Amino acid sequence: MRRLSFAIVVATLFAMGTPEKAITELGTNAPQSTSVHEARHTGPTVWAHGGEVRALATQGDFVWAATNGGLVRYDQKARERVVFDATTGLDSIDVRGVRVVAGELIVDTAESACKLDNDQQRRHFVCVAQIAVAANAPTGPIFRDDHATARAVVTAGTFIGTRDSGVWFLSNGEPSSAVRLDPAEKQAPRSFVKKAVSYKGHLWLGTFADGVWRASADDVTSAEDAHAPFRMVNDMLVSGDTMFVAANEGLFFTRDTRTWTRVDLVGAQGVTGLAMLAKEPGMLYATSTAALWKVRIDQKIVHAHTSWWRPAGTKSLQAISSSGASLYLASEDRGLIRFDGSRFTANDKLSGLPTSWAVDVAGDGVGGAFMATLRDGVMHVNGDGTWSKVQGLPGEWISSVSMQDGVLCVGTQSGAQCDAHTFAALPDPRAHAIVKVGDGWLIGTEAGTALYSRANVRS
Amino acid sequence: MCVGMLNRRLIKTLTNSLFHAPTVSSIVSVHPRARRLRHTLAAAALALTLASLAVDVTPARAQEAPRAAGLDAHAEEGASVHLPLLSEQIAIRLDGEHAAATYTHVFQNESQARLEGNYHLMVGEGATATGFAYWNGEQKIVGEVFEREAARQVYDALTGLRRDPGLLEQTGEGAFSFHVFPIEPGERKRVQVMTSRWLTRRGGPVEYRAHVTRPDASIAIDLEDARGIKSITSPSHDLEIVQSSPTHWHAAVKTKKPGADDLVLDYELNGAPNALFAQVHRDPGQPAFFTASFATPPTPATTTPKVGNDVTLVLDRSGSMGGDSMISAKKAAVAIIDKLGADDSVNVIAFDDKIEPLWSQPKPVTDQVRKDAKDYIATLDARGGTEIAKALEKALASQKADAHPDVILFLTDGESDGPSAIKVATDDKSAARVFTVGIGTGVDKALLSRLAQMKHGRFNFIADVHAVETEFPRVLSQLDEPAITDVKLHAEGAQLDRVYPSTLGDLFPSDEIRVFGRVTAQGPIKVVLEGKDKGTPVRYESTIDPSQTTSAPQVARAWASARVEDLMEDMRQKGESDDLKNEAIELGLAYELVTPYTSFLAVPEKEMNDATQVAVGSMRAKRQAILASHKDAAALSRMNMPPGDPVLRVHAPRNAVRVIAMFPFGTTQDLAYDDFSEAWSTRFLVPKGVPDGDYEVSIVITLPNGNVTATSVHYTIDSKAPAIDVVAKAGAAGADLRVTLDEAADEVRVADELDTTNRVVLKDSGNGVFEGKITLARGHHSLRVVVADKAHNEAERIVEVDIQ
Repeated sequence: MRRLSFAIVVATLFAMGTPEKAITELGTNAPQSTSVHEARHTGPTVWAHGGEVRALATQGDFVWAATNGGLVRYDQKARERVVFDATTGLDSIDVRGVRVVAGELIVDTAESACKLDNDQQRRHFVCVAQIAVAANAPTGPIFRDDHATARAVVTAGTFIGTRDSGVWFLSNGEPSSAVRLDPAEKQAPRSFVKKAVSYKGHLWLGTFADGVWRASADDVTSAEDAHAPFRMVNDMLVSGDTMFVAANEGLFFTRDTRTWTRVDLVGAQGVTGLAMLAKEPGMLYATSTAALWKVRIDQKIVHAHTSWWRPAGTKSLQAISSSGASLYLASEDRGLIRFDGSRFTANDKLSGLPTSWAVDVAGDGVGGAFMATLRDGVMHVNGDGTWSKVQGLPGEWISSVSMQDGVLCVGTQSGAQCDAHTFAALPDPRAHAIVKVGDGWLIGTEAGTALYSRANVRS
Repeated sequence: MCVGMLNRRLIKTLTNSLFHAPTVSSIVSVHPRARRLRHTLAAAALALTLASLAVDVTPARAQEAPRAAGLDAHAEEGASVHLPLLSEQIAIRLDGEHAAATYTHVFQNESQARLEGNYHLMVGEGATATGFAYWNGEQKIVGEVFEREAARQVYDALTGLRRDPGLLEQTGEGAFSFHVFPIEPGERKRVQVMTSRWLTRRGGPVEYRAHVTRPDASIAIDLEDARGIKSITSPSHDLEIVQSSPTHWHAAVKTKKPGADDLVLDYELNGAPNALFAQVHRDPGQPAFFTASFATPPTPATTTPKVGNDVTLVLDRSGSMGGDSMISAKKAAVAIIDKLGADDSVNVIAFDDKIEPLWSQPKPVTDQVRKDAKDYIATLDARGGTEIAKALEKALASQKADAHPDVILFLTDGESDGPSAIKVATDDKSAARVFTVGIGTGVDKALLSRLAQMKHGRFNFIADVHAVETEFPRVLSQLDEPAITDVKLHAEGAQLDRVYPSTLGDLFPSDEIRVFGRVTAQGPIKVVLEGKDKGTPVRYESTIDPSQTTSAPQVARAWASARVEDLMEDMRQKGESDDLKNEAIELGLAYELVTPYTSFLAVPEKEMNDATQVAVGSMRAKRQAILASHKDAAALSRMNMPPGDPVLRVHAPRNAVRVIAMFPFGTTQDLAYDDFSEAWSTRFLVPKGVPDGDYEVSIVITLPNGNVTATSVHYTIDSKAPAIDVVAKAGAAGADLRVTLDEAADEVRVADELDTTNRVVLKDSGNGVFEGKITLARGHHSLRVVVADKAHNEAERIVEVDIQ
C-alpha cells in the first residue's frame, strides 16, 4: 500500500554510495521523506493498495513502474523514488501500463494514454482518452511468496514487479537476496469503497469485493480488514447497537464487531439494499434482486417477517431508500419504484422517464427521491410521479447518490460532486462512495480512497 | 482399551457394513444378487452388534412411528436416543413440475456426553440428493461428489479419528442418511440436505408432498411456471400466498390443519392438459438440454361401447412380500376383480421361484369366476424368491386367441434377472399389453419400466405399501383404452439426440410422459409429439430456442441422470466396460449425481492428514477438469450486459491456493471462496467505454500441489437498443398491439401516456413478435411502447389510437 501525504510527489533522498547500495536503500528501511521536491496546492490524502505492479519500463537511469497506486519512478542515479498521481495530471492512479516509445514515455491508465508535457520542471502529464489496455497475466513465476508480474533488467541487476508487494531489486539472481524498494505500509483493499458508516466509535468501510474494513474515526488509512464472512458489500446500516450489511453473499449483522450472523431470506441469493422507516423502528427493509423483505430486528433473533416478490414486476432490485413514509426501490427494469405500504408504483421509461435502469436511490426526506441511472444522469422524482433532471453533474454515468447532511452527493464515472462542491485531483474519476467524515469528505474511487479536508474541497 | 471404546470401534465397523453399502440413486439399481447378499450380511452384523453390547443394552424403547427426519445418536457406552429436533426449515422451489427442496435441521445434544449418530431424512418418491452439509460448530462441512472408490478410501482413512467425514447415501426410495460424529455435549448440530425431484400432473393439479417432522417447521415455497399459475392450495396446511406475477407465486406455510401429517401442495397450471410443454437449458458453448412433457385429460364420458379385456393378474408372492405388502397387494388384486365387467375375462398367476396359475387362460367373468379368483388370492402367502422372467413368460403364453385386448398386470416388490425378463419381452410378438406395478423400495424400477415400455403398457411405482389401495384406481384407469397410441417425439428444425426414454409407450387417460434429450440449433425449433387418438392422427407442438443461453439446470441434471441409467442398463445387459463406466463417472461428477460409481463425501478440512489431502486434492482436480470441459464451470450472473457489475462464480476446489480472473479490458481480480454458495466468486465492473461484442474472461486456478488449471467464461457487451416495429389496431374497448423486434427481447410493455398505471405486458408469440391488448376508454390515446432486450437496453415508440 502506498500512502501519499499532502504533496504531489514524495521523494526520498539518500547519502552517496554505490548505485546498488543506493537503490536498495529505497526499501523499507529508508526514512520517510523529510524534503519535498515540489509542492503544489494541497490535494487529498489517498489511501490505495498500490502494491500491484502491472508493467516496468526503463528509460535511461529511470525505471518506471505502472501500479494500481500510481506511476512510480525509480531513479538509479539520484537514488530517488518518486510517485506520480492525479495531482501531476494523470487522470487516474490506476496505471495499467508504461512504455517508452522512441524515447518518449507513455503511460496507460484505465481510460487514457498520458505523456509528460514538454516542461520538464513541471513534471506534469497530459492525458488523452483511449480504450482500456489489457493487463499482463498475473500468473508469472512465484517470487517471494507472490507472483512476479514484470521484469526490467538494468546494469546493476533486475527490477522485479509483483502482484501484491510492489517492486523488488535483485542484484545477484538469488530471490532470497532481493530487496523490496517500496515502503511496506498498511494494507488497503484492492477494490473501491462502496459504503461507509460509523459504528461503535469506528468508521466501517464496505468495499466492492474486499469485505468490510474497520478504521479509526480520525485516520481512515489505519483501516484493517475485519475478515467478515462476505466480500461483496452493497449497503450498510446501523440501528442501535447493530450494524447490518447487505452483501451479494446475503444479509449479515453484528452486535459486537467480531461475530457475524447471517439472516436467512429464503430464496434470496444476495441482498442489495437496506433502509428503515422512522415509523417502524423495529423493522429493517432489505432488497434482494427479486424481492423486498421486511426483517424484524427488535427481537433477539433477527428474522424475515414479510416479503413482496417482484414488486411492480421487477426482477432486478439494486437499492432502497426511505423518504417520509415511503420507500423507494431502485431497479434495473422498473426504474424507481415507490412503495407506500400497500402499493408499488413504478417510475420508469413507461412512465415517461428517460430510462428504467436505476442503480441507486436517495430519499429527499420530503416524500420524493433522487434516482441515479446507469447512463442518463440523476432524476428527482416526486411522490406524485412528476420528475425533473438534476443539472450540472460531472457526467451522465452515475455510480451512486446519497444525502449527506442534507446535501445531495453524486458519484459519477467522471468525478464526484456534493451540491456545489467538487473534488479535484481524485485518484480516479470513477467515484462511488461519498461520505461526510467530520468536517471532511471520504470519496471511494475505483483506484483508491481520497480523503478531503474542508480546505481542499472546491465550491 | 476400555470396553466402551472397543464397542465404539466395533459399532463403527459394523455400522459401515450396515449403512455404507454402495450408494444407489433413486433410478439406478444395484444388481439384485448383491442387494440380497448385503441384506443378509447386514442382518448378521446387526445380530453381532446387539450381542457385543449385551452388557450395555437398556430396555428397548417402544416402537415409534417413522419420522421424516431424525438424528439417532448414542454415546460410547449408552443406548441409542433420538436427539430432539429443535428447528426445521424447508425451502421449496417449484419450477414447473420440478421441485428442489433444501432441508435444514438443528438437533440438540442435551447430554453431557459426546455422541455419534446417524442422520436420516425421508423426502419422498423419486427424490434424489443434490447436496448435503453439516456443521462442526461454526464450520460448515459441505459434501462434494467424488468417484466412489476414492471417496471410500478417504472415508475409511478418516473415520474413527477425531471428526468423521460424512458420506451421504440413499437408503431407500427418496430416503437419505449419513453418519455424524462428533456431536459434542450440549451442541446444537445443524445438518442440511438438498434434493431434487420431478412431479407429475395426471389430468389435474400437480401434487407436491413433503414429509414434515416439526409442526412449527418453517416452510417457504417459491412457485414459477412459464405457463402461468392458476391456483395453489393445500389440504394439509394453511398457506399465505403472494402472487408477484401470473407466472411466479410465493407461499409461506402457516398452521397445520387438524389431522394432517405430511405437507401436501396442489397447484394448477394454465393451459389445456393435453398441451406439449418444452423447456430448455443451455450452458454457453454446449449443446442444449431439453425436456418435453405431455399430459392427458381424465377419461371422458364415452358412448362408444367398451370392448372387454382379457386381464391376467400376475402376483408376486416371494418372501419379501410378507406382511403389509402382501395384504395390500391382495386387496388391490381383489379390487381389480370387482371392477371387471361381464365383457372381461380374468386369470390369476402367482409366482415366486415357482409359477402357479389359477387357470391355463383367462376365463369370462361370472360371479363364480370372481369367487374362485378371490378365493385363490386369499390363499396366497409370501415365500420363496422372485422369478419375474418366468412369470412374464407364462403370462404371455397363457392368453386367449380372440379379439379381446390382452392385458397383463404385474404386481411385484422385488428384483430379478433383468436380461432374462427383457429377452422374454423382446421375443414375444403378441399384442399383449403389460402393465407393471412396483411396490415398496426394493423395486428394480428400470427393469419394470422398460418391460412396460416394450409391451405398450405403463409402469406405476408405489413406494409406500400402505398406499397401494389408494393408488390403484389410477392403475385401473390405464386398463381402459389408451388415449394416444403410437406416440413419437421429434423436432422440426433440428435433430434431437440421446432422448430418454428412448421408446415412448402409449398414453392413457390422466397420464403424463416426460422426456429429456439434447439438441443443437441455430434458432427456434418446434418440438412435436405425434400419435393416434382412436386411429385419428394427432399432433402437438411446442417452440423452444436452443440457441439462446437459458438457465434451467434441473433439465441438464435430469438428462444426465437418465443417461447414467441408460449406461447402467447397457452394462447390465452387456457387462461393464471402461468406456461406459467412465462416461457414467464423468456425468456423475459433472452433474453431482450419486451413482454406483460416485458418492457424496463431506470432509472436514482440518482433519485431513498429508495422505488424505493429496487424495482429496487429486479428486477435486479431476472433478474440476471435468467441470471445465463439461459445463459452465464458471458462470456469470448475466451473460448479455451493458456495462454494469455482474457477479462471476467459479466452481473450483475449496482449497485452491488462488483463483484469479483476467478481464479483457485490463484488470485482474482475485476471487474469494464463499462457504454458503460453495463457489469462488467476485464481481467486476465493465468500463463504460468497452465496445459492443463478445468477450472472454480467463480464470486461472492454482491448486495446492502447484498445478494450474484454467477455464473461461464468455459474455456479450450489448449497449444497443433493439429496433422495433409497432402496429396498433383500435378496437371496441381498447387497442390490439403487435410489436416486431430484430432481436430477442426480455419484455415488451405498453402504457397509456395519460395514465401510466394502465400498462400491460405483451405476450411472446414467437419469432420476434409480441402481441397483446390494452384496455382503453373512448377517445384519443397516446400509447408508449417500451421494449427491453436481454441486456436491458430499451427502445421506445409512441403510437396514437382513437377508441370509438
